[in-house]
Amino acid sequence: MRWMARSRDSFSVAHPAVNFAFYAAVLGISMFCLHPFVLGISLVSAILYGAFVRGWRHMARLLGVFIVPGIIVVAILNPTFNHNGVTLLFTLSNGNSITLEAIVYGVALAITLAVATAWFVSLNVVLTRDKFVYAVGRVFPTASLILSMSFRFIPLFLRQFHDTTVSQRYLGHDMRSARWWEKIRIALTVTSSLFTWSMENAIHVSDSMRARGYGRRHRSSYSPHRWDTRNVLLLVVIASLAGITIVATANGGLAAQYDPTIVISGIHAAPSGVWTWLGAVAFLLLANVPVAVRLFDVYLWKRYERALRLGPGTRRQTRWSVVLGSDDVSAEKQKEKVPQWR
Amino acid sequence: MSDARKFVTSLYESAPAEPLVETTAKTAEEPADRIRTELTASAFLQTPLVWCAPVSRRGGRWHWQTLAEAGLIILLFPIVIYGEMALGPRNALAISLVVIACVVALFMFLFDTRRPNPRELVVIATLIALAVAGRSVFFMLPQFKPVAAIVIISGISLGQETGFIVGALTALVSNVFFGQGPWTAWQMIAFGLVGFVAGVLHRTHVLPAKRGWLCVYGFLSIFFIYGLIMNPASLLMYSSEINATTLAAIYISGAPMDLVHALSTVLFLFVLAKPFLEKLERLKVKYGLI
Amino acid sequence: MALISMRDFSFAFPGSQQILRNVSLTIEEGSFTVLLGPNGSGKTTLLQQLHPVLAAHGDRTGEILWRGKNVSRETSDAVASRIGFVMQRPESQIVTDKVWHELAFGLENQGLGDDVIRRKVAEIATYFGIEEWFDKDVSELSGGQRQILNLASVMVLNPELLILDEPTAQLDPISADNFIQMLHRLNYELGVTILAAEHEVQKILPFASAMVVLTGGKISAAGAPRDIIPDILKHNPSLASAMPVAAQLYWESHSAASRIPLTVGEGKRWLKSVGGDGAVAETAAGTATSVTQSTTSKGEGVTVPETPVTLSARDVWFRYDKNSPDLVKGLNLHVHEGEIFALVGANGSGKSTLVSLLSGVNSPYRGRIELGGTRIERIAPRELYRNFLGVLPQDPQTLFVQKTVAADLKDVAKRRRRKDDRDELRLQESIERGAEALGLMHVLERHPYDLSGGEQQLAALLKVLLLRPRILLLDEPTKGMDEVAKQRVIDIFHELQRQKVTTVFVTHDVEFAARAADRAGMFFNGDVVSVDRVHPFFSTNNFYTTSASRIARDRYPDAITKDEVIACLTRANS
Repeated sequence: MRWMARSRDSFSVAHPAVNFAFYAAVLGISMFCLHPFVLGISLVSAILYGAFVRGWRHMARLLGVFIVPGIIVVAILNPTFNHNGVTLLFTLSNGNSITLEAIVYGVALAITLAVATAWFVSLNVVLTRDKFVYAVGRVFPTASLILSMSFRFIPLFLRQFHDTTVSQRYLGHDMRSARWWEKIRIALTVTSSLFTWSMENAIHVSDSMRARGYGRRHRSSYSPHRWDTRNVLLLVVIASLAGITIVATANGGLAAQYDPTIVISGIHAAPSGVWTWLGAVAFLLLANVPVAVRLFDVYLWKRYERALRLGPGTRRQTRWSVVLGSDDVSAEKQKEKVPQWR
Repeated sequence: MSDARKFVTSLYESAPAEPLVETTAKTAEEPADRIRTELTASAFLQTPLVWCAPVSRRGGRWHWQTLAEAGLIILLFPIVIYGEMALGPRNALAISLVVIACVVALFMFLFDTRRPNPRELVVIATLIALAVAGRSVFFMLPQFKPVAAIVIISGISLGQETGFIVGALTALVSNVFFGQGPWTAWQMIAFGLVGFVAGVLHRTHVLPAKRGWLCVYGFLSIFFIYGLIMNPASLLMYSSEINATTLAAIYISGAPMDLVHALSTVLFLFVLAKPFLEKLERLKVKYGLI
Repeated sequence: MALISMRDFSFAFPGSQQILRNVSLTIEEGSFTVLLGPNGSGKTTLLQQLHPVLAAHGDRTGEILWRGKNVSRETSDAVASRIGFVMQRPESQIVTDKVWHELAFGLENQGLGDDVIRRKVAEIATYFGIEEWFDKDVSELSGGQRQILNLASVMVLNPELLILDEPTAQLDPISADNFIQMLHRLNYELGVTILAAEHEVQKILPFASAMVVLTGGKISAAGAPRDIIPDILKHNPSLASAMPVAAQLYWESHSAASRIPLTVGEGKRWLKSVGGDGAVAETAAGTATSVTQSTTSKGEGVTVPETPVTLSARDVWFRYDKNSPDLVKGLNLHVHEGEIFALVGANGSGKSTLVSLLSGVNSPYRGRIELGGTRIERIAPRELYRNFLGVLPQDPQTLFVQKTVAADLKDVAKRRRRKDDRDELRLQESIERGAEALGLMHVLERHPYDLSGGEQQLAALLKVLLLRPRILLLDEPTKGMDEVAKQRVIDIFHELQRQKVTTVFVTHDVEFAARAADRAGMFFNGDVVSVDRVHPFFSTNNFYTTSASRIARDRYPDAITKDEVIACLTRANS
């Protein structure tokens, strides 16, 4: 019970609308605002939250294998195509010039990509399939039903595929020992029989739908999620922080120009002042909402335990590795698994 | 003599118990997922089967709605490309995301208002699930997936709008398992259009529902629909400059992967098109689908 | 008051012969009606015709009345919403991927709001005990849980009439018991009218208030169970063996007691009432001989397994992953050539694991499994499954890949080992004889998926037999079969025994195991415990035993099948 409460990611159990709003705001702002403050904050926060839900090891691997090399490659590639910029560093033998601006712009773009990659790590854990069903269902109930049905069918078909392969082996149609043309024949037979079976299944399912009144009236789309105080509060916080950031951007507080000259508000003489710092702080808070929610819950639980004095065990210090999530606790529980066909 | 005795006697009288031939323990410790490798390695890569049989063709006619959809999509591309050229990549990114959202929403809206009957819904969900399940069977091989093949078959058999829905939702569903990313939106529209165009071409009698033609379409559609959307999309993400040179560069660098994808689509179409189309056709007749 | 009734109703699919003939049927409000009939008697068609939405198109004559009014096109939607329908296969009725969503599905179709749906779903989940797996994926559920979910997601719409088409045919006995208890509760506590087709009536009949017998598309008997069971026992021998064992014993012994017993408890009391205490010791002594006689009559020289061991598992351990628990723990099993061996008690993953190990699909990480003295891993797969080991998997549908049953059966010839063995003519003869022996002649030209569950099992068995196995391994072979079919399977087993074919089957059907097998073993917690000949096996078991043994064990401790008890009773009477 104790570790469950600790390792549970409080943000991913929030209302799906809150989850979607958060990712839309954070990804949207980081994609279109190339201000170094925003990019830096976004990258660090994304890696931090990613580490909370998937474990530090996963994020380190991602950082080392993908993000850092990616940044370097793009930073090198961009100047070879983009020759704008006023600060000429040197000229290539083919007459193309390499500029400082192009390199910096390349790095900025590469970091955008890294930011997106890092946020999608946690997104893939937080936005489970029923949340997609919910999100689509609010607007397009029929498409949402199709989603839900196909999520139901995938494991069913994989099992049937496996069972049919085994049964064919029982009948002497054995993939392991057959010659290659035999293997093709077996694979074809199994695939075709699976298709027939799945269509037969489709007819039964549609009968079951009609028997339960599908299509008789206009359909509603039920959601088991509730708008409790915390969800409303979270949505308000996310919306207002995103609003402040956007307003700051609109007022030039987070403007960044890389081409042909580098003009970054807050650093250069360009429009700066309070909007830059307001925008940056708002975005910092916004990007760390999930981590804050999670840590706040850990604090609540610790306080609760202390208050209860549940025995000697409660005196133990919170193990931060558990709080932060390790590779085997929260990630394995929450991430959608690639369907296996056993 | 009872029936059972007659049967069993006739079954066994001619067959004395045969001795077992022992072999070396070659196959003893192979793991269960061997089948997966076997399937991939042999069944679909070494497919030199040559048999060509016609699949029933469906008559069709132009419909104002189809025209409107096709026209809209044809119009959208210049808008996006103009946006990219004129306004710079960041704005182009925003524009293309909005356009994608609109197109997907339009098709979903049309689909929703049509109020399809439950049988059609389940068949669509079944096709999506088969595509995703197929992809998970070939998970180990990058770009080797039956998704495009099944989307094309859906477009041909169930019409262009359904083809689009199957394509777009397959991309969404499969990314739930294999990882969402910035590519999800573009994949949705790319697979959607592969199905849509297949449906339109079939309905206008340009593309007969014959295996050879489908394979050709499958190959071309990966390069000229899927590749034409996915490659510039990745450029939009991390390049500051969109011009003919960068587009050509990204297209060429993506070509090997697209080639694998296109060839796998051809293979899957070659193997699956005939049985799947025949069975869908029979289902349509038997249960009055569509 | 009659809730729904049929008057002179006939039905035929377009272009084929009549399936229902002049059916007149009345379902009283609040009743629990059991529809009984052999495989292929038109039960499914009859039930579907009662549901206005599911009714297949075809030539219909006669009328269907709902509360005395004819169901017309205008009222059919309203009537459909008052009827709930649960089908045979638990898998194929589930629409969505989550348990909670499945429960909400029907309510969503009515266009209800979130709050109403939440309340109704909570209520129904509590009533059906779904709370523990409420948040699960549908794919994680067991077969029994899926069928309960199907029932609950129909009941959430609050129907007045619940129609069920062989709802327990695909379930193991424990889940089937749970399901029937649930039906009883619905009927008893909520007054829901229930109409259920079943051929395994032992468990359901005690709760039924009415019974309808359908044979060949006609209603041959209808009424309260106690009134019409004597009739069935008298005039309908093919259905007689499907009746509760207590009733059969009562009937066969020509008892003078007025009330026909239906349950084990009633049967016990009845048996006590007919014989004095003095008779017990005397007849018990006589039982031993009668039992020995009846077993030896099964076949020659089979009771003592002196033949060589042909299937053996020695100290076998197995688990799927490094970190998952052991599913098989030190299993030991030795089956002799020409033996019929029943494994009972295994359920869920344990059973499928056991079959996959014995059939060579999975390999143990410790211990060895030998077939015919050779380690199973060392037998080349081509050799193993062709003419040597025949396996009937749990789902017979996975064996069929062709468009007709006949084509599927012919397909087998290609997989026989020797070339000269693939003789077309002889195979055709075998197929015909086999179809004759298993009563499958009329389905040969049909698509395999159009067969009923029991027929599919028989056809799958035939397909496996045509490979002429020396060892036969069957997973739940009698699922969905009626009594006639079961008797056919037993005949086949005994004939195979004459050909020295070894048969091992895993089953929950203890009655069948007691009748068919020579020896039996109980699979429990990863090992086969208490292996014994069937008579000592079942007569020493107190809980896991046959109904006949439960009824008569005080008087005839060694008699385990109803035929043996009847034999003892007649001996005592004469």
